[in-house]
Amino acid sequence: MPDIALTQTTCKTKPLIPTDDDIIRGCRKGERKAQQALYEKYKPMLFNICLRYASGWHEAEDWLQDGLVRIFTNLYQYQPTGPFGAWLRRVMVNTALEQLRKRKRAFSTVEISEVADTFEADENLFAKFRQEALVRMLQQLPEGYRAVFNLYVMEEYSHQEIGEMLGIAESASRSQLSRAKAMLRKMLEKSVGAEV
Amino acid sequence: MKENQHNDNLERFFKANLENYNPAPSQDFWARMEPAIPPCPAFWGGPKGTLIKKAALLLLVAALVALALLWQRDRQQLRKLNNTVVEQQQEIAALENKELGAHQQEAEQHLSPKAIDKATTPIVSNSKANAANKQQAAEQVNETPALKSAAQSGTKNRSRKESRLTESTVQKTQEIQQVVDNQMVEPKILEQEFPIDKTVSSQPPSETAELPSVQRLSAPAFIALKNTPISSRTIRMLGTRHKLRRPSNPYPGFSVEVGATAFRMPLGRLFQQDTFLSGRTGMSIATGIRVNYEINPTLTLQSGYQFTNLRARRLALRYNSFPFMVQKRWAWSRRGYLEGKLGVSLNSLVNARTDSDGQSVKGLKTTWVGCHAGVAAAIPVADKLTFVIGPTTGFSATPITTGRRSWELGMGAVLRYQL
Repeated sequence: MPDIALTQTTCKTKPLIPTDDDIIRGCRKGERKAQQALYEKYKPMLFNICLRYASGWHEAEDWLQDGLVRIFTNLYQYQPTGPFGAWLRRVMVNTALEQLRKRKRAFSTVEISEVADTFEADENLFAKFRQEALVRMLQQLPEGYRAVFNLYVMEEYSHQEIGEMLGIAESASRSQLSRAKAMLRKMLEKSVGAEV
Repeated sequence: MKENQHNDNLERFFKANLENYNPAPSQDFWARMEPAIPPCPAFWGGPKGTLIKKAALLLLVAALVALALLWQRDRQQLRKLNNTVVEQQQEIAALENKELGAHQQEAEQHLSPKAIDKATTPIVSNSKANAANKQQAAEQVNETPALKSAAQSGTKNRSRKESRLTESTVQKTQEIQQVVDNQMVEPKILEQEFPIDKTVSSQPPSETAELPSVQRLSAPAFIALKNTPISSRTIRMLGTRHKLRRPSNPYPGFSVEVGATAFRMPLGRLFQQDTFLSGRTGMSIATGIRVNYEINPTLTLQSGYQFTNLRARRLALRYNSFPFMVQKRWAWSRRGYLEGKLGVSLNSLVNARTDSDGQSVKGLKTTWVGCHAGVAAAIPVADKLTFVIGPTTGFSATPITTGRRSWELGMGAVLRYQL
């Protein structure tokens, strides 16, 4: 039995793609390769978040940089009780919210002209839109609306949690979501109309 | 999160499309970003190191303050002692010079045992000389046996009288000394018991004069104090060694303490989702008044009122606390002592606002129970005043938010006044 165990151990080869554990261990030691591996592995997910919360490409890149720096410096806080990806996602969302909060005008309300509350979505119609276009629509939303929409729809937080995170009342979160949705509907209608 | 149903087509549409969206930043992004990545912090530069450094700094400051207080207290005690000694010396000098001067001189001249000795010595010496002369004369005058025997018998009688006188004088002097030592000197009684007869010693001694009786002997010189209004304290100061005051009991029943505690919530974890928000947690301050009641020499019950301004990340909570603590004391030194405390506090939320825009935060519990513990060093700074300093820690026994319990670490300092 000891021989077999020894053989198994010796035959163990390091995988080519580093695992999360390897990345975490390396990043905690400050290894640049591990940091780059983390970036390469998770950049689509992290940049997706940044793009959805930011108002433009360059801004999203800046936020991604901030978020990555924060991830590398705060990696000691991560406890492997949950998935690493979820932790990264949360850090990036919080980075984005922090950036939004730095702008005082983030959560000001924007008056929207009356929009029908009921909107029947046509899947075929929506299918025409590419993901980039949807992201651009989101980026056109006022920052507060964008944050609430992203937190509620994409991150699936409740209004109470959103209120706590953004420092606003629960009712404010609700109203901002409905306003964001109304604006998006309007934009969608316009875009579809233009395409058609 | 469960409340989100996403039954809206629009929401579903956005979620489905954007969840799988994998954009990539610019090609040179990593090259641009790499220089901005901070190097791996050394232990002392890391967060744990920073925490340890801060704790060490706090301890150092606390130790310095304690040392300074102890030093100051020692200096005060020494100064007091010096003053007392100087005062006593002055009092003694004044008594000797002014009050006692005349009496003492008189007593020394006329009434002192010295004078008595002086007065009695000639009697003795005269009689001795007389006897010797008589003996010499007898020897000279043919040395008659009758004269010789007469001279010898006279010498014996006088020696017996003298020895009786000396013994009784010594005895009485000792008695007087004893009475004075016991501080039971009552001038009137003394006067009755030992009336001063100034005529005795003022008269020149003569061979024919009657030997002074014991009763007629005056008190020694220091008995002259009986005529001066000296307080018992003065007599005690003169007669006894100055004793250092023993440290008083730090808790004679009730005591009141006022102070403040500065604490921080490590990592600012009041809510699960704000764990990784940037920004540092502010310093939280709790201040209030507490009443202590000593139930036995080592155990004390404590209760009171406390107002806390808690700074979590992006959030400020203000609440009232009513602590119920049990304290135990351990002797540390002759002056100070250590105390440990453990207890609970009932907390009532006043308000909770965000730091950024000051909006009130809803959804927090209005009351909760907290557990507290701490150790402290108590240093008496005055007779009734004690300075207490030490680290404290707290933990919310019931969560403030759903499923989240916060804990805190801080340093408290109070001034305790004994009632």
